[in-house]
Amino acid sequence: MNVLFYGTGLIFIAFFIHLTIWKIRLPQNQTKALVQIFFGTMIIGFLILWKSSAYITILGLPAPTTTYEYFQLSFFFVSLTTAYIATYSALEVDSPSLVMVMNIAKAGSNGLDKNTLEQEMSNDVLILPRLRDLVAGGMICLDRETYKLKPKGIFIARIFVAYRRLIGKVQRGG
Amino acid sequence: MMNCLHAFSPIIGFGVNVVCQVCCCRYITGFSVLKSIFVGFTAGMFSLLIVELYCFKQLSLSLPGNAPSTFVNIVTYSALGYGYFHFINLGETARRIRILRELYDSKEGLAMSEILERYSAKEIIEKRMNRLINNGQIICKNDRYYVGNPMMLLIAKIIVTMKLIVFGKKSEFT
Repeated sequence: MNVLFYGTGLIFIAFFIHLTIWKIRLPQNQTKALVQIFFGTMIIGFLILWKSSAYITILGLPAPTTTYEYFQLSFFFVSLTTAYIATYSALEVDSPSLVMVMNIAKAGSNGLDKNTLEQEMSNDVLILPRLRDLVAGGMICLDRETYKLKPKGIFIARIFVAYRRLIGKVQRGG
Repeated sequence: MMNCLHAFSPIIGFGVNVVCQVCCCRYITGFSVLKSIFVGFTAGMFSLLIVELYCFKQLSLSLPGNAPSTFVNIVTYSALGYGYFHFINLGETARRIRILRELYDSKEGLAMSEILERYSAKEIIEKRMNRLINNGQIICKNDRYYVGNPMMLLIAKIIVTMKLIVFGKKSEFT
């Protein structure tokens, strides 16, 4: 029970710090800032729990003491952090599928015709902002009107190429 | 040793999940990626529960007294599975990854017009509309689109609510 309690508590603290910073100023590299906040909270939280475990008891629950409990706690924290960061990437940008569904729902019982949908979702809305994100994220650069991959972009592209090869999928996603 | 096995059970389950998912995709013809994700997740969860039961038996622990610890492991495993699902989904649908892949395959880089020739808003809409129609989320009647299964609409509303909490706005363009 103590792993569940202290793990959930640390996640809430990290989430609160993240929301507070976001309300003050949106960081330039949001994913990097999230990683720093969540893992920073985890490390500091673990140190406090570990060093003061004899004195910490909240709601009758003592702080974790054994190495196994700390393993379990760290897996719990890291997995929830990973899940949140994965979800965050869907919050940062508008997913075309979700925008399509929302637009169709807005049209109500009359439905939405194909041309209107295509007009609302042009290259300016779907492609250009993502290219700008890639440039800002240091994955690609614009060199004399030509977009080129930077080492970080090559690394990410290789991971996905290798994974799709592993699962035997040759066609490109998107 | 048993405590250690108990702490690592979500990692074991996650390993089984990934191996099953990759094998289903790679070796079973016609097996869709989505189906393989479900099969992998179920197999991993099954393995996790077997490990948990084995540990309880070896340590002579009662299930009711240790239910919170098992719950932590189930949440940890589920969060890892969710993160893996997002990773697969990135390779399948993310626009940024698709653009990186196009650039990865063009060693000299690509001009904007060449990127749009290979990957445009029209293709994005077509691919996603086909997926939504095949999954029954959207219905097409007389060239007009209507919401079918409201699940995707519900997800879209949850995402919009989370955007409001984190960013204070409904869309990246508002």
